[in-house]
Amino acid sequence: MTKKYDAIVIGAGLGGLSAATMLAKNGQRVLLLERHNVPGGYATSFVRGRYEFEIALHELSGIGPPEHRGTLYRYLDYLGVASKVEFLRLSNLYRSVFPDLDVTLPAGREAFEDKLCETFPDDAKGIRRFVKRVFNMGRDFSRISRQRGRVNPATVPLRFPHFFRYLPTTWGHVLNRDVRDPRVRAVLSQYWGYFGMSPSKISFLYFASGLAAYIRQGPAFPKGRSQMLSNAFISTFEELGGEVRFNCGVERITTNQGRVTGVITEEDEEITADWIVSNADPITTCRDMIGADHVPSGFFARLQSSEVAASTVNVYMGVARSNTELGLNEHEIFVSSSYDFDCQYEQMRQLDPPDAIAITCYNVVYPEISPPGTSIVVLTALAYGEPWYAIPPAEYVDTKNRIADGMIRLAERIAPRLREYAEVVEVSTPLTNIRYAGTRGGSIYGFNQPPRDNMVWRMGHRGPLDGLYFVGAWTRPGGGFEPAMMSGQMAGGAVLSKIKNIQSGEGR
Amino acid sequence: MVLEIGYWMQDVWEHVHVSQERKKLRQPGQGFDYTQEKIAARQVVSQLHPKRMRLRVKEISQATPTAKTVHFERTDGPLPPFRAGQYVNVLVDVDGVLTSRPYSVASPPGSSYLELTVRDKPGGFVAPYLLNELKVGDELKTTGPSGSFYHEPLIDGDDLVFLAGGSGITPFMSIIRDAIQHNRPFKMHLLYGSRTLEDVIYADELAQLADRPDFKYTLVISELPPGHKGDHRGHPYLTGFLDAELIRGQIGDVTGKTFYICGPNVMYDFCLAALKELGVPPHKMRRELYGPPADVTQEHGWPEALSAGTMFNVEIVGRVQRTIHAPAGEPLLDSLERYGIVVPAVCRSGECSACRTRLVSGQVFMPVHTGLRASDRENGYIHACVSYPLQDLQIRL
Repeated sequence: MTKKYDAIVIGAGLGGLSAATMLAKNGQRVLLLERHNVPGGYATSFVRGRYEFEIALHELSGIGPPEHRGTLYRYLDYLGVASKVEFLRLSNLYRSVFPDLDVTLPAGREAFEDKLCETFPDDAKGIRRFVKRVFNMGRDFSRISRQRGRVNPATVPLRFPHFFRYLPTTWGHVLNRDVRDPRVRAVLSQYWGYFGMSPSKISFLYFASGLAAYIRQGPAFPKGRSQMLSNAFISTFEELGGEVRFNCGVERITTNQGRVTGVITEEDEEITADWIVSNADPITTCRDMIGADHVPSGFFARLQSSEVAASTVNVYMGVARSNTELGLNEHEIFVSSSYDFDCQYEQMRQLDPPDAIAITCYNVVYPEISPPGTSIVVLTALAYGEPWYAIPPAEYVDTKNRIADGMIRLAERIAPRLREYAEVVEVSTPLTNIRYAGTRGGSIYGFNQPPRDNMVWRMGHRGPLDGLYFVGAWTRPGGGFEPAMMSGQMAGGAVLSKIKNIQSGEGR
Repeated sequence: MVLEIGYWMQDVWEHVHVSQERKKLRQPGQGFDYTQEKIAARQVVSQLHPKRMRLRVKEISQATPTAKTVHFERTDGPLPPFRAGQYVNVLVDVDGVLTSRPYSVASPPGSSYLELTVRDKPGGFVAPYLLNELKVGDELKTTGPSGSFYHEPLIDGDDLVFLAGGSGITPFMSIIRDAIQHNRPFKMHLLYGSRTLEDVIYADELAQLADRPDFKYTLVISELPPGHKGDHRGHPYLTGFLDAELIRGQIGDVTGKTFYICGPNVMYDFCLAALKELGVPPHKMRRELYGPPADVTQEHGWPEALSAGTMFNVEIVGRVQRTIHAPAGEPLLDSLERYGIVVPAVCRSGECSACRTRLVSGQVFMPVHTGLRASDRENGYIHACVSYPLQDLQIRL
């Protein structure tokens, strides 16, 4: 009997979409199953009244200018997805606002460095030295990523010295040596929310390679919101012969003698395939869909060193005033009431209004995102999921509104009339993320990204059973929009090379 | 230079630390144990947002000659919290057709029962079934509470004006009852438009509440029999519609007030225009969902030559393969249901996207209020609950 599908991809988050399209592009017959009725996972949007809100994307990395496209764009182009999406490019990275400081940092290395040195002349030397380290790391990292085949670990210290040196360090560890002024440290670390942990905890590799890419290529945002990207994946996937089913969750993964054989859907349909690529988190996949008894015990022991990352509280606001009338002149504005990011990180485990938020006003680069004279403003704070589980159901709305109220107050320091002109407001919490995306803890970055779980030592794509692969933020390279999509390329590539090996007679 | 070498050694030494840390965490009893679920997050979420609820009829009372008020209790768990003003979508099997209709909850959050009021509607399909067939002890399923029509304390303020039309009173009952129960610091004014006096739902309860200082109640009857003596205090009823002049006369200055509208579709167009005329800015107006139009051929943009009864073939492609016949004047979702094809649905008003469906070929009409994502529009997705076929179609479920 010939099987209908070579591979089944569980979950149409960015990782699943990318892996499914990658496999279909290379001639595999792929079935993509998604529990929700829209593709994208966090790369989706929702409509309230006359506003369509972007759910999660702040700034997309890896796109770059037409003359020098980034890694992500080149991959999307290879798949045939890039031509279906128009990318808007941002000229500034962010505006950083503290009680006694307000500075906007532009993209482009020279402009970025100059702006910092101009603002903080006393620390100019340290700033330049540090930015150099960041770019050295960024360069080594992109070189090592481009290596074909396995890199001999013994040669790494010589061939990629910066990569080797900084691999086990945290961002704060390196930064604090070069820069003394806590204000400069804070401004340079402002993207910490994009990586999920405060400077003293986050891997230098993640932060530096991410920041270097943002500075070099400038951030981007897709027209039509991230939902357009997800929809473009689906339409490419279907053009390549792939089949997608929405409203179709997977209940079990079937196994036979240490190998996955297919899935059983929520509707009790059994579908077989040689390869299963799971965009669900590895714990749900192995414990709930396969069953811990069928998984080698070392698998869970290995995961003991990985911590589920933070989730978010978002306040989505449709405002009946233009962004200029509101005083929101930058796409991304970080507002903090203190320079102590470690303290802000600890707040993520409490149910209190945060001391720091990001204000994203999409109309700055994307004026048509809402009707003329209105704007879409999203306030974001990171928050761990667990404290939210203990709230009695009847107190849930009051709790989230108390936190949202504090976030709006913080935003009103920059945009004093934000609340007054708000027409629509929706508040999402870690529980909302769990509800719609099904992620463990409502995590937005998969597992946390301290040095011990950075992209080199992070969980790979091959699962503990033959034929099983993982994809998404939980795996290499890590959390974020670009990494999630790149994980699909890596996992898809791993499956394809395995297939090639089998075909060339090397066996499984 | 010397310093830099020191730093280099320090950094490289971190390799040892990190590897020890990782090893230690992977020892038995250390680190994060994922073999057991400590807190069932999914359970917490389903308590807040159950996908389905099983409800049993506890009590039915005649509300008006054409409406009944039904109290339900939940049999598969506690009633979830909700926002006063939200609705549930009631799933029914009418003569073998599995369909559903959204009904606003009239009881306040925290009650031991869920109250829905159902009114008969000419040409209705589900309402007659609920009014005639439902008995105490019957069970049915609903979705969890949904919708965005409620008082939002973050932005709405305390000075509230409710414009209700006909059975559109129900969400306001929940909001008003909740506000009174919890002594919310609101100043509420309800303007309730009804065709006739006997159609007024919750008439006694509202008349009683009208004695409170924080609640003002204005009943507006469009068809008042001649010679009527007035309300229980002998005050004459207002007649006419909730137009700008009437609203101004009752409300006075609109500044600082938030307006909420719930009623039939025509009332939204009418009242939104009236409020605009009174100078109410768009961000101070809230409306409940536009239901599917009563007569889609009257909608702006409907092709003039096409009559509601024109039949088209709708071919379902993909996993389920079938062809059905659907009239131009009926939402595609309803046509599919008639053929026993169940599509997930919640709001049935084009806004929630639960019935998002791929339109492979052909053209449909969707009213202007449809809350379709821009990228869905570009990629050929429709909301089947408010999509009307204009040609033969191919769709994929």
